[in-house]
Amino acid sequence: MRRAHRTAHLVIWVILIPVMAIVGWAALAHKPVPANNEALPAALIEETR
Amino acid sequence: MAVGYKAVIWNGFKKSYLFSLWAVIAAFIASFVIMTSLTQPEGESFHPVQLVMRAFGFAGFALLTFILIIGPMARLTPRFKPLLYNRRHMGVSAFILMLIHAALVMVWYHGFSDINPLLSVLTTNPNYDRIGGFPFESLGLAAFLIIFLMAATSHDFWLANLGAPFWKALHMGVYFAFALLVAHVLLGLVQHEKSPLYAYWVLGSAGLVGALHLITGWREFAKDRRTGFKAKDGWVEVGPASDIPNDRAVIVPGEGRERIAVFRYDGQVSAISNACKHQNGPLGEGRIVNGCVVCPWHGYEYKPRDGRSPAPFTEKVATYKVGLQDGIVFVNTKALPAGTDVEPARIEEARA
Repeated sequence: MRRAHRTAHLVIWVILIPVMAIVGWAALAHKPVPANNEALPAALIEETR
Repeated sequence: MAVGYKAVIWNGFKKSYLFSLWAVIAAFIASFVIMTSLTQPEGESFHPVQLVMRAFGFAGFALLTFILIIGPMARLTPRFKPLLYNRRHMGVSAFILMLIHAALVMVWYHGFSDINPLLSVLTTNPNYDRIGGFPFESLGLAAFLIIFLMAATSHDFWLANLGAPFWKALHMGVYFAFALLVAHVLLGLVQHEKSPLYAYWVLGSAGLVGALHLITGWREFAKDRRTGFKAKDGWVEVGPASDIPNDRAVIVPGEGRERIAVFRYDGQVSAISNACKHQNGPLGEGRIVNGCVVCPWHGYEYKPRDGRSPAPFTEKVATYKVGLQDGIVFVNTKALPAGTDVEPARIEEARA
């Protein structure tokens, strides 16, 4: 492998790793929270009060 | 090698290799479908088409992950080197799996729309400005187009006509395709899946591939910066001839962007370019078999004294002048034209 390709490999992964990590963090942070039906009546009762 | 082209040069090994590969793929898909249908949460049921669609998608992703770890693992341990030989067959197989996944998605989700299915993929969900609900299918489509380009140009015909440096640069696109697929799964399936298994799988794969490439890339970068080999008047001291394993090489930095592979064989020393003509594979990591240097990637052969492939093949690489003084090997860093015959330095004569 030539030096230019070795350097390109390294540069590509230095960029891609943090990009994938940020996307992973953002995807998990924005994951929809499943609705909890059991909590709904209590919340509604509280709201009514 | 460059004596003519055939679509695929079949032999017994290649047939059994592909049969084994597709047997593993079929077992993976069957296990995925069975396990997913058995572990579906109550109240949720997938249509068989959705299960198969997901199975083919994950089989393609898993195979691509494996393909991408072969390269760095082959640099860490020689056990992985045989897998380099037919890596392109795995790549085309991964493309076929992704093609089936994409075709099922197109038909199942976009085939009955009034608009063109491709346009439907890109425009049905316009939420490009948010993470939650991002149109993840467009990421998969982008990755698929890159993988298609890789598969379409995977044959040696394209390698020879585009030239190894350009072909290699083009095929680095597979790294971006992998990152797009990671985002595709994270912003798609993982968003709606209750089980964290898929998130672990995708993030684990991304971490493994990224870490291996970073480690091996850094090791190669560090080799280039190593100060052990300093050129003096155009000559580099390689070290004692006895330190070069028989029929093996020591790799030293040459002029500009080249590395030099200094081979010891039959009581003599020769030096050729470290970059194979085929895919720029590291010739210095290969060994001499039957008088020829064999590239560890795909088995291309070169004679160590003139850098030429044995007839009828026509490939040739640059050669370098070598010298011996008091048992110490020196190599001139100026590359001679490819195929130039250079008298090897004889270890026995130098001792005498």
